[in-house]
Amino acid sequence: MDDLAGLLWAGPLLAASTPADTKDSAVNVEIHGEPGQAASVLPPPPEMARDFSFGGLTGSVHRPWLMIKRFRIFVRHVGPPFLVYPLALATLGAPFVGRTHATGLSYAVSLTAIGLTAFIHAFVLLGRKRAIENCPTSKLRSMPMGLVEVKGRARQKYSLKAPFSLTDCVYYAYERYEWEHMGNQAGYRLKQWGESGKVPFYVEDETARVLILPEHAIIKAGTTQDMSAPFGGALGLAQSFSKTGNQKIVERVIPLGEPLYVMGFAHPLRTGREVRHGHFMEKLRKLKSDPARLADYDLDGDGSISETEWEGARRDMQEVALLDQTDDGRDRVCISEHPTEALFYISDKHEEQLTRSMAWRIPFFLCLGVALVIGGLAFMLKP
Amino acid sequence: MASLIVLSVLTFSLLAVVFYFVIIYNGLVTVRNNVDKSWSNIDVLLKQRHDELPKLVSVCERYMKHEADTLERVIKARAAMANADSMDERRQADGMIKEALKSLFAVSENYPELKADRRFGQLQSRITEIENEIADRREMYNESGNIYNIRIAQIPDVFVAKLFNYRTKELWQIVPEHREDVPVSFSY
Repeated sequence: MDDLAGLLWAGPLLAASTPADTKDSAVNVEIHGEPGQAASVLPPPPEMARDFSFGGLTGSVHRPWLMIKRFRIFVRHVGPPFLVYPLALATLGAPFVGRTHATGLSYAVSLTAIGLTAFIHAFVLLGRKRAIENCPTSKLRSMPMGLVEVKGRARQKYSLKAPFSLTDCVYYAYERYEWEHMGNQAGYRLKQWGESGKVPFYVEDETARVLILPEHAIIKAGTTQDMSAPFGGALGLAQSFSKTGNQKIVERVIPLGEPLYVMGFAHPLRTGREVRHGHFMEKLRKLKSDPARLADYDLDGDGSISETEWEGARRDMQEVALLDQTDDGRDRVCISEHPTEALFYISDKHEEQLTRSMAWRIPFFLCLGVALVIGGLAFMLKP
Repeated sequence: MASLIVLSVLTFSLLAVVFYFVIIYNGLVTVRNNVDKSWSNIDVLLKQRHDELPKLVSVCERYMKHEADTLERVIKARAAMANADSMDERRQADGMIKEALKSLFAVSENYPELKADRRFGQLQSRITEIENEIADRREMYNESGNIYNIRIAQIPDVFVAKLFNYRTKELWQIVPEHREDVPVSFSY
């Protein structure tokens, strides 16, 4: 069991080195950048992989953090945040209305809010579907700046390996569950969650390759592997877990060479000191807003970051920002989030499959939305 | 109660129609602008090629004293492109530039000193690169035009397109002479 715990913790660290590792281990790691071709040397990702456990005291901090993260991703998928947040608030607040007022009102508020969300989502989907259909596909060699649609295969910019299946990939996320008995009920309970973070990667077609900065993208790609006993045994490290019989690991990876569809905003990568400073400040801001990462710098464990500890964190972030900006001067253009529009889509589906999957969801959400709102109104008016 | 449900169904239907109309209209505006943008994107590369051609001619002049005709054709084709207004004139001028460049690069094989010139090598590869990019962007222009033409002909977009007088866009087609078979003769 100790070995198992060791592997669990070592897995993510093997896959993505921390800045401190980079300093110690001569930066470069040898990996296969392109399947079927000679090994190339790629640096480790500049940002640390995120890895959280949900046992004990830390779980009480990490669990709400993960819930908020997932909720934000959900909102990005559903529609414009200024509409979805109030509706979500109404849905979540409805049970409290039920406590103080009539239960019928609580149902009415919930149903109406969910119905309106579904109604909005139907039109958001329609807008996305048409945007995908309306945008012509560019070849990477001659890709213009602005909103573009490109297709190609995923290639690594940084060395990245999925921690459990050991697949060379451009993105991974995993969840580790343990079988637990709680009173009369038994089931898998989430014990650990981790992801590679949004590590920049390339998309390559037959003419060229372009850098993708996947921060804030709607990612609908990746293969999910459920490595629960006894079938997960064939997948590398998963064998160790399958023996215990009470664990389940779900790992989602975008493997190297995966055909991807990307729709996003193409623009030149900015360079220069000013940008590096901006990038550094952004890194610091991110660190400040992430209590789990900040806790890594609390060396004396007193629960607060002293001046010396903060200086250490600043140095690390400076190094990460510098590495991020200077390790590859060849990237002159990248695709990232649009400054104003929310459409930044990464999918492993073909364009037609993507629009077809949206096509049936549009009437579904539209009808669902109208039905729920009418249901909500009926509850509200019920004597 | 029943009347309220009917009223809400009507309200939602009306909202749905309005949203749908807005999405269709915005979509049409986007596709029309995509076609114009694709055309402008070709222009950007044509301008780059326009700027590179005199440099190429001046390098060639030093070595190709007896190829004034070939060089002149490049210059004339460049001028024709600069003066072209309509899409048809542009297509013709583009065809002329392509032909002239093809002859120039073919003739350059007879001048080893020119071939060895580093600047010529750079310009040749730069122009070839631009040519490839122009070809890609033409393809993209045609794809944008095709999407637009299909959109304005399809139901329900056709109703909005007719209402706002959207007309079909002409696609980029090659000069008819370029479709003709190339005569090949083996003289050995």
